[in-house]
Amino acid sequence: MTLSQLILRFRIDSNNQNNICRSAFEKYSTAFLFFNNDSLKIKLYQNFYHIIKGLSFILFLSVSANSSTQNRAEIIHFANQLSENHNYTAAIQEYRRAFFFAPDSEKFAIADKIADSYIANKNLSDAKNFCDTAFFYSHTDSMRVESYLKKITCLIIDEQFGDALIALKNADVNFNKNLQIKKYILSGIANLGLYDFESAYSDFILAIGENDSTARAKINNIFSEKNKTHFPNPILAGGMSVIIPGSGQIYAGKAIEGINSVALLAGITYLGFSLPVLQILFSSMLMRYYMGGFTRAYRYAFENREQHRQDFANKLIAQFPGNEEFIKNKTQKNEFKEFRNLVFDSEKEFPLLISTAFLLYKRILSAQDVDVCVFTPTCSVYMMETIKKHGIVEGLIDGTDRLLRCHGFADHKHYETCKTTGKLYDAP
Amino acid sequence: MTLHKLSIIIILILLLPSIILKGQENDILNYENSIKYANYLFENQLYDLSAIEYERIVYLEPTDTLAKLRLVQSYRFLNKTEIAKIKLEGFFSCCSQYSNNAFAVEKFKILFLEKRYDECLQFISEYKKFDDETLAEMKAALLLMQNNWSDAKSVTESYLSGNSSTSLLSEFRNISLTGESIRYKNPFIAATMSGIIPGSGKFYTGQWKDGLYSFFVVTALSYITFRSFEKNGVNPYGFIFGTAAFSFYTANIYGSHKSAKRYNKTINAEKVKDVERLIFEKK
Repeated sequence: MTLSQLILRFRIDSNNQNNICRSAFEKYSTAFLFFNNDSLKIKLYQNFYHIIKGLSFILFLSVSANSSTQNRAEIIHFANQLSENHNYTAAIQEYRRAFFFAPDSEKFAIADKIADSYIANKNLSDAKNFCDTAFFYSHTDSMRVESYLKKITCLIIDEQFGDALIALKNADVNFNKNLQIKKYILSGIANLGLYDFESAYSDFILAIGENDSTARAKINNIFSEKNKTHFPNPILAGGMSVIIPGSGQIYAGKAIEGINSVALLAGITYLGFSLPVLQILFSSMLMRYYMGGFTRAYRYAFENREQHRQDFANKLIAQFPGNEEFIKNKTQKNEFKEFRNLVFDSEKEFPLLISTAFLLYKRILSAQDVDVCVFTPTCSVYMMETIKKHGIVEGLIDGTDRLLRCHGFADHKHYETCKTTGKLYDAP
Repeated sequence: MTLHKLSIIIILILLLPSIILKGQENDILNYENSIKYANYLFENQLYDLSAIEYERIVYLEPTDTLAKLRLVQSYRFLNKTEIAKIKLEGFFSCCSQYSNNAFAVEKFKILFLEKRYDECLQFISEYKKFDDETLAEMKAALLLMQNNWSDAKSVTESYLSGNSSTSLLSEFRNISLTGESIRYKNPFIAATMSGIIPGSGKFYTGQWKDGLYSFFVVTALSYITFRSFEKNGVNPYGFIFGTAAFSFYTANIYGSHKSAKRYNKTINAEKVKDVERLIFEKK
């Protein structure tokens, strides 16, 4: 721990100094009262003297560090250390304090650091605000462009690639080579986000420059695998499942779903032929699961292709050190695991029959179905939750009533609507 | 120990306060500067940061009541009512010790946010320093939130008759007047209607699309059941259809009851949605 940090520790709880003094006085004065031994008395007296000496030294140091600029420098130093240790929330707190007390000439540097911390903290709207603040307090052209490019960085991380490209058109960076390179890299990444691989390639080549042939060879090498980003084709996967159910899912890399789809459709067809009374039920089920099969094949292929594109972009960005914030690792969430948690990790475990029925339905039937429920959470999850809340009898009745309410004419007046999916919120 | 050394110690001890004071003029983390920064944060609605800052100020200067108040307010604005309550209890052991009416108002607002209207009422009757107008406003707001329209009306009117009219109370009276004219849907009537004709209870509560759909589902299933038994005698399919029809029929009765309750709830919430805003707007 450096001396300045030590001082800062003292300063943070500024009552500390007085407290230490007071407690030392109290401790030793009581010691005097209790001990009559002369040698001990002298020893204690000497200790007392040393403590005062040490304290006055610390106080002297802290006083010498007490002028406002140095005080602020310490706070910034402290915040720098915090952000080095990835404790960005605390760092932002300290930076903002320093920012408030700093004179205008120093505000650019601090605002820039706050924006960095917010980007690391994934709080992009505040990061953009502080990029603007930094822009406002900048006093040279390169500072101005730097904060402007940082704002574009926020836009790209926020996946607003079109806006970022338009903003990049306005960035005038001809006076500074480093900023020029940064601009080309940003433009390349934004083009990658829009899947415009041709423009991205030319941008990256410009960013590398003409001299560095090894880096250029690397980029060429990566772009030679460009075809991977078109695989698997969602329309092809969907079409395959229309003709041969299950084949599209296998092509998209989800073999188990494909086999499930084939088995389910075959089973329903068999039941439909063997139980003519329930034929009307089975024919409608067949229709739904067939449709669900090819829409899901399309979706799986789309997700898989997204993943390939992401990997491709990550590989390219890794060629340019210093741009790690653009590398994204999309974690695929396991929906089925969530359902299992709903049944088994609750305070009151469900009766075995109900939870097994629910999980089997979710795994075998619902995983092949078209997304038709008009509510969120879906009817089956609602049923589980309401049973958990009201008990089995009332829960089952309430869940059945929900099935009666789940139809295409459900009124948007009576429920709140989810803005992204258009589903109606209806919790038990 | 010589006199010389002792004198140095004494001089140092005497000089300490002056040295500390001199240093603190420019110290960012001292009391005055912290207050300045915290107020800036509070006024710019950065409550998560201002809460931390006021915590420090209260620690530095335990007598600062404004900082204490703003600390509690910061937590309330962050919707951390639990922490706000703990802070308030830490500052004052009971409500009679509040140094300022503002703390009592704060406590009222916290309880109000938590929807603990009974505790609110108990608190304002225990705390006796409110003036009549504030007391009447608070009581009326609480009664309105509990949908007790007639009592709210009598509270507002008894105050308004004796004093010059205040805008907040007259607004509360208007709300209570419109509240009294609400025609609620009776859940039992809805359930009975659905018992006689499936779906009609939902018509009664305004959800006519749900009513129509349930009518078709229940009648169709019942008809299939009936025909199955009529055609083939006692057979398993008849029982399957019958179970489905009966469960949908029961569920629809339950649903009509629920729908009526829901209707009443939403219409009440619509009436009182202004009350909360008015109470929290008032400083």
